[in-house]
Amino acid sequence: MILFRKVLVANRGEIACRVLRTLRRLGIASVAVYHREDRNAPHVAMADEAIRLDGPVPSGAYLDRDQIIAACRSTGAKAIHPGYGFLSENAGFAEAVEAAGLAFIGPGADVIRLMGDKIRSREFAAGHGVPVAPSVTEDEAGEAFLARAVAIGFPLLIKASAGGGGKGMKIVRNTAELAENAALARSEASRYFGDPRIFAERLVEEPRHIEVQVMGDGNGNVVHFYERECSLQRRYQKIVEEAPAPNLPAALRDRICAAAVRLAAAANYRNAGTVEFILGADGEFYFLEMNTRLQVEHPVTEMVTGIDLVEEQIRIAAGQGLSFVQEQIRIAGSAIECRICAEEPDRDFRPATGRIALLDLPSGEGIRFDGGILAKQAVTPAFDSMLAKLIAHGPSRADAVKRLERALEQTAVLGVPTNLDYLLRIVRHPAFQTGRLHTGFLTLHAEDLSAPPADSPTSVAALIAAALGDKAFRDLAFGIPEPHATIGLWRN
Amino acid sequence: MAVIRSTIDTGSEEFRIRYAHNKALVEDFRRRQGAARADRPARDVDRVRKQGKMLPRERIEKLLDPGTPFLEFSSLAANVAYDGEAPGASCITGIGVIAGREVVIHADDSTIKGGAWYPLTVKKIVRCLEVAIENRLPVVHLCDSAGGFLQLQSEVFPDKYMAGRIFRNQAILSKMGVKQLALVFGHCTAGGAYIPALSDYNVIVRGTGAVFLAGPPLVKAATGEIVTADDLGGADLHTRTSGTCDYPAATEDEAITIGREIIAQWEHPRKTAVDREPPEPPLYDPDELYGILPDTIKKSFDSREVIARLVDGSRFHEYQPAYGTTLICGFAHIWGFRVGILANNGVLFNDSALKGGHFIELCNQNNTPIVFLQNITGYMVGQEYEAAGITKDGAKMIMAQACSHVPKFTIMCHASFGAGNYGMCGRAYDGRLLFTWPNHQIGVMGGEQAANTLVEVKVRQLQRKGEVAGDGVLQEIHRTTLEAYEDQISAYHSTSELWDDGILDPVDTRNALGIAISASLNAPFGEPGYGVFRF
Amino acid sequence: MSYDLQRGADRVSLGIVARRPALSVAIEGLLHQVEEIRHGADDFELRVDGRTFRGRRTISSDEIQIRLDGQTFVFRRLHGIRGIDTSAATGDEVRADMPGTVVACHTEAGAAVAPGDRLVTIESMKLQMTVSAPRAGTIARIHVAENVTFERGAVLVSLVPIAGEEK
Repeated sequence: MILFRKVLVANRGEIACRVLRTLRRLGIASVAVYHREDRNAPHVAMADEAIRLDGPVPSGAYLDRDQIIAACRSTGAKAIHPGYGFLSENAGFAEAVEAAGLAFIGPGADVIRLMGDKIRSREFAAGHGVPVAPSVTEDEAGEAFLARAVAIGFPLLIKASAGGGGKGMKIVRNTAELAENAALARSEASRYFGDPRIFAERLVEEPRHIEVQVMGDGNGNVVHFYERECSLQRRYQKIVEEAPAPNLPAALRDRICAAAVRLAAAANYRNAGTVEFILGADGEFYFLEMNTRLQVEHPVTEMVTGIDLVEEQIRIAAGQGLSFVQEQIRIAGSAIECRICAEEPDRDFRPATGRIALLDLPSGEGIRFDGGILAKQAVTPAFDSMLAKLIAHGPSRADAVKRLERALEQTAVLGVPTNLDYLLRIVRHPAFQTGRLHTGFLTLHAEDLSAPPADSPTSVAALIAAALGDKAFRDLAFGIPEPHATIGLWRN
Repeated sequence: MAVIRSTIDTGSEEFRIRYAHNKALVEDFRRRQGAARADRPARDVDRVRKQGKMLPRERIEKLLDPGTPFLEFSSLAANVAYDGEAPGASCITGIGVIAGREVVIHADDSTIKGGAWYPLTVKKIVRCLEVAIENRLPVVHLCDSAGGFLQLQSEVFPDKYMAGRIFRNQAILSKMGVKQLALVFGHCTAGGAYIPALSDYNVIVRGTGAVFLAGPPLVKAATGEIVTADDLGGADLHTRTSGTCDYPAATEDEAITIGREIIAQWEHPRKTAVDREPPEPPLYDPDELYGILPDTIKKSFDSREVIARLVDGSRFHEYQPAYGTTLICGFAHIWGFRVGILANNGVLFNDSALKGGHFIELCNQNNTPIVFLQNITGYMVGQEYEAAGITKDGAKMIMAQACSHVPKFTIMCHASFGAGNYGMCGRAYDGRLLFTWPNHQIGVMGGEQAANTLVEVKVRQLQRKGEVAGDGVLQEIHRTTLEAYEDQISAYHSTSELWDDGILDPVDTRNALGIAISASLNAPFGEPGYGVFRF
Repeated sequence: MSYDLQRGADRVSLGIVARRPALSVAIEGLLHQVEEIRHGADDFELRVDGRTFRGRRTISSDEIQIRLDGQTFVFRRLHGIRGIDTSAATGDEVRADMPGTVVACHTEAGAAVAPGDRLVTIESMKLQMTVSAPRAGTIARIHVAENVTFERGAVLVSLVPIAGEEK
């Protein structure tokens, strides 16, 4: 059984560290790449070799395919793991890697291209029996549009065909409101985008974001690793994910997973991928997109299945095919992941920078911490604000929640603002604890999740602790001679 | 050390009467003190506020370390003088803690006649600088004064202990290596200008602070020059051009912050090492002092009962308990400091005078500070006692006391008449601090005795002229003498004239002594040595 | 003297009321009994009003951060932090402290300047020195130019208050 002798990890931060760990466990030599600004980053120290990428923009260096392929040549690496982000879903890069005689640990370029195109992927899904949200696009005959919109069923979302970002969006709940709102949306579409055409689609209220981890061998054989719930999002970015999805009926889970496998098999999917769905309260689910790479939140799947997905990626890329048949993949317990980000939740999640002055990592049964940060490390605006991921696994969801709560309490990142407190408030929220999740969760509960008032015993203790850390206060408190200190405030 | 066994019955009628009487005296004291501190014409307070200035007590509170004591001196100085025009003698003095260091504070009060110095203002400032010299305590001056009160210039300016003594003491302090800091919040005019100039460090507030020998009106009168106070002696002139001032401050708050920073740079004093015990409150409640002190000057009390309510754990090691029993002597601790205590328990006889002198020598030999609790009507008079040498025995006690090298502290508890005042470390004997209780009376003799003596003198005068005084006339002489005398011997007259360092509520005595003893340890004790004792 | 910390937009005072038998601190009108059990380089243990708190603490020149019971607190230090006031409420003219030659002018007439902004670099006694704006204002006129030699007390730059501001 021959895997690669040496693999280059074309990424940084926690995912690079995470891939490097598996390479080490498998006895595969590793190569890291880094930009000067990351020269002290942990992934550089973890790898057997590290190659510096030059470039004026740090993030640009990790996107420089020529330098990365050259690094493979100079080190003798035979394969590239792209992680997520950067070049992981870049079809051109996948092609270039294979053209260079190297293995790309991921799907083929064609599939990357197909799934990277919103419209083509949606058509592909619909064509293979995967449900997509019903929608109609306005053509020249306006009257017909309204009739077709009514046929989809209410509630409807009307949007500008050319637009995005919520501008000109209207929610319509019955026929009476339709014509007027359509006209309004049309005029706004015209005003904002210079194109009056609109389209209508079924509005999924309080939707859940459910995704399915799949793995294919490239020959039409595909297994799934069950689903993940990723409904907790801020600014369209996931921050808390879990597996399995809570309160999801078994039959519905089977239907969703089957749809994901159907799509991947139809695409002759190779390597790891994720099929994302929107799930309505009515149990209807619709294809959203497929991510042709390892996901940030893959650890929750690993925790509940006990399978190292990176190892499986490497085996497939090395031509060993799938290690499992579907029946061998079972779920044990529940796992939840939190993304620890350098940001200010109380100020609209504004990304934050600074130097990590103090770092406490959590530990304990069922706790996994995927980090790529070190104490004293600077957090700059050059890269994504995610610092690390904290994953808790337990025999039940309640156990996982409890362990996660304790681990979040244990974790400390001082010196740069983070969302740790916010994450803890989410995890402690009753609606989270009972698993009542949907993508509007953070907005709906915004008030409960905002910073607590400053008069709690804990915040008073924090204020006192802060003062006691300051020499100026200590001098006042402890630098007073006797008997004056004991006499205290006294006037004659 | 044995605990004093109190025999006071706090449920007795006598205790109740005495308690009510003395409590009322203290309430009267607090009322007078409150008025002296806070009653100011709204116009004067408004003027200070409009200038963006703090009141002097606000400055002191900001300057002191939080939650620490301030032992104020002579809060009722000048309360009788000048028809009460200069409450507190227009300034605040005392000992406080800044940046962990014991310091003397002197603050002008510009809400009274612009902070002008009355004769008693000068006396109070000179006295606080004397306290600084004797105890080697750094001084912080909070300057805000219009200068000498011109109408009384003859009592402010020329003599040895008048205004010149302030600057003389400042110079001596600096020579001794005792630091001084002046914060110039307002004007320092004429002589007052030398306070910041003679301070080792000074800070001046921009806009309101000014230092000059003559203010703009005087300059105009003298030379015709028209100049603003700020241009004449403001912060920028003195910190940029003349070098008279060291640090400019944008606000009073900033001046205080800078001042605290400066003090924080000062070396901590190497205090005189004395044995210390962990402090312990008295076993008996000091509040009971009100029920122990008599309700008239003629009644007496057992001074052990007072000691029991001042000292740690009410423990007292009494010296010669069976000899000379009208003077109680012994060792005790106050706030953990060992002290020797001399407390009157009746008239001083030969044996009590000899015992007191000997005990004072023991304290000096043992480097133990001495606390005198005065309640004395005098040394015993009469042929028998003169023959036994009461005068030379009293002289021995005065010699021992006057030549002591250990710090001495005096509390005027009830009465101080005649030469007993001398033996028991009256004002003339350089005690480090001397405080008076509100019930106290002081004079060369009691009011009754003085009135009788004066009536006797009058009768003899008339007899020499061959006249006989009618009973009515003599009664009138007796009455007017007694009234005038009662005013003179009261604690309020005494404190008005700065014959003490202030009136104390008896329950505050323990803290005051703790702070005073602690302060005294900033200065070395020196070597014991006496003059010729008449044996 | 009070000790203050900045918490968000607020300034919070911690008043030391007593030190024995325990430290007693007044915060927003409430008294708290404090016992410090551990004072570590980056951690602490306290008893406040009978409850024990164990947490982490970092201190920088201007901030103190605390992590306690799953909450992060950031306080700005105020005590003793102040600029040294060397500015004077000067008139409109910036004068030379000593004779010298102008090396460079860094501003121009009409420019708004803040206190401390560079106005002119001069050379005197073989040393180059920067003449800075003593206060905020608008440059009315620069009286010198590069390579111009001046005497002590010469006016280098004139300022006027920024329009709409009263001095």
